[in-house]
Amino acid sequence: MFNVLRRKDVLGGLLLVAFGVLGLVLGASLDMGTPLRMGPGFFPRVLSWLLVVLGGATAAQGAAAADAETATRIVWRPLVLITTAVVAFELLIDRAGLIAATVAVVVLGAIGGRDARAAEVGALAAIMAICTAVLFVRVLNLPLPLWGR
Amino acid sequence: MELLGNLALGFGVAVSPVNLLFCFIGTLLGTLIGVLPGIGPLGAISMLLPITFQFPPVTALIMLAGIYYGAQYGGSTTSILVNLPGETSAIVTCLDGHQMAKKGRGGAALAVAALGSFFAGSISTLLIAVASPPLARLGTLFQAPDYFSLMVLGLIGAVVLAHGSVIKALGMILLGLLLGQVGTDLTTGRQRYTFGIGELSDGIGFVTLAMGLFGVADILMNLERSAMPRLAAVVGRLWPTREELRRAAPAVLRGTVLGSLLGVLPGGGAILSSFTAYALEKKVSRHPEQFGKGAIEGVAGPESANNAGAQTSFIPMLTLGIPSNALMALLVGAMSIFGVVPGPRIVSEQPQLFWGLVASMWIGNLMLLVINLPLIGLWVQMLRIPYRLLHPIILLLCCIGVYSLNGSALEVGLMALFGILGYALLKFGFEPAPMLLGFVLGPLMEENLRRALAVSRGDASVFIRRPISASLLAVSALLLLIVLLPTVKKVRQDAFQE
Repeated sequence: MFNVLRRKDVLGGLLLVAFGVLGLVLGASLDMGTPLRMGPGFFPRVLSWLLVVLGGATAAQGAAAADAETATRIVWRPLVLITTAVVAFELLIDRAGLIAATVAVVVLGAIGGRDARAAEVGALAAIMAICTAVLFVRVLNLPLPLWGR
Repeated sequence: MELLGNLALGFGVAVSPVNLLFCFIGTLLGTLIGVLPGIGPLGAISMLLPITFQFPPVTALIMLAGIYYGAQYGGSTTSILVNLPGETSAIVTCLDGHQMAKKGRGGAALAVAALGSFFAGSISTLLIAVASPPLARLGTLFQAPDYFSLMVLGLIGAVVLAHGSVIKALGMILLGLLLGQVGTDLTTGRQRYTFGIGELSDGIGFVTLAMGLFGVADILMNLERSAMPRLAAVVGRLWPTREELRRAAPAVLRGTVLGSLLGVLPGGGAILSSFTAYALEKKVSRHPEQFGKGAIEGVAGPESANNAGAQTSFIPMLTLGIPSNALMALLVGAMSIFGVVPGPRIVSEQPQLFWGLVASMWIGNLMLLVINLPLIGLWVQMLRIPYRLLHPIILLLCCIGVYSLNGSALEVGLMALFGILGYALLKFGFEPAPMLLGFVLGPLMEENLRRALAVSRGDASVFIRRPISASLLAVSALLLLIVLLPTVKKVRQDAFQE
């Protein structure tokens, strides 16, 4: 039983079912309307049901198959650090500005890989901070706060 | 003669200094991302979109298109020299191209790939110019039910022709369609799946989705793999021998024809074209045993085909407004941000935009020839940049790109969520590209379905009573039926295995 749950198709199928169920539950209050006047709930509901059916079929197929590929293990280091890097950018960009956010993304992103070297990461962060400030803010005039707002 | 006048108009637009400059930047960037493994044209174009929003639409589109076909050129360099596809459509080029490089004929392989691509690019540009106006006129006959059916066909075609499992691709399209429902319902003004978050009332930003799925998720997958192999091969003499040219020329022709045709199909484009061209070359060759050991036809055919396919896939997008693959979906999204509605009226109402883009493609192909052959040494140097220096830069560009779009930090967080979703999907063997297609087409499909039903007074039979719609639906049903038949399933698997 436990092994079946590690199969790619089973996991992926269940993920689709989850999205379908989520679509149905969260969209429960949306009006179906009539064919003549389609309501806002019609299309999402049809799609959600199709997802549940299709995801269920994928999962069932994967569970029934004699030999199925199992999903490889999650490597936590890049997953956690890369996500943290993006979230750091989200939190810093308005409060501390582009330069701080850039340094945070580059440093966290770099140590998300397995062979980061301290000196290299520091240099890269400094170069990128200067480049983004000059290129995006000065040259391209993108609406980015340099020092936070 | 109308064609000549149109092309003259197009070249007039395309050779303006600004457009030439951005055509050059686009093809240069395209070559760069094509050469570098770990970042594809999907990720690159979504990263650069926000920057292009300050340009006039035609300039922006010229640059974005240049990235796409430029990546087809660049991808071959990495395939041939390091046996690592810089880009998905260059996978088959590894098979024979790298073998040639090992024998010291890498230069010839590169030259044939570039010359073949240039020839294919020129022919397919001409094809776009010839085929688009009549197709656009046909497009004006389409009404709501026909459009709905055309989109169904487009989505089914994308599933059938994509590599990998049909059911999984269908699932990705459905998920994309459902994500496209987030936001305000256009007709009733009702909020759908917005959780009261202001940013979501306009829907999920497609740049946010694309960068999560193709930027962040790709980084996560790449970092999981063991270190990327670095193996510089000898470039050797650049000019092919007369014997090599004699063998490559017919392959280039076949690849060009095949790629041009396959590019127009829903679900077609560069990837499908190169895979099919390789299979074709192997089949027609009198020495199939040489394939995989450095047969020059195995480089010339697919490389011409992927460039031809990349370009003709613009035809359905520009004339009917229907993107045939995820990359075209991205460009449709970009155009709608520029306020340009892709569809039959572009050709007649915005001739400058349309013909300017077409003309720029030929100019771009010429530039690529110059960028690729004499500068090959530069690209080889680029290959020495380790991925540990690249991925933080890519990640940073993704964050800045999403943020600068609407100045919303929340959307940066949303991108991280889609990154995790894309990572999970890739881990479970799902290819997320069709999702973007569904996402872009979702709102259009709902709109046309609603309009069709309103006009027919709620009678769903309108979809089979109108001849255009009925035949489109029939083709979709047939395609789906065929691909689910066991025998065809096997042939298809074999074809993609090549």
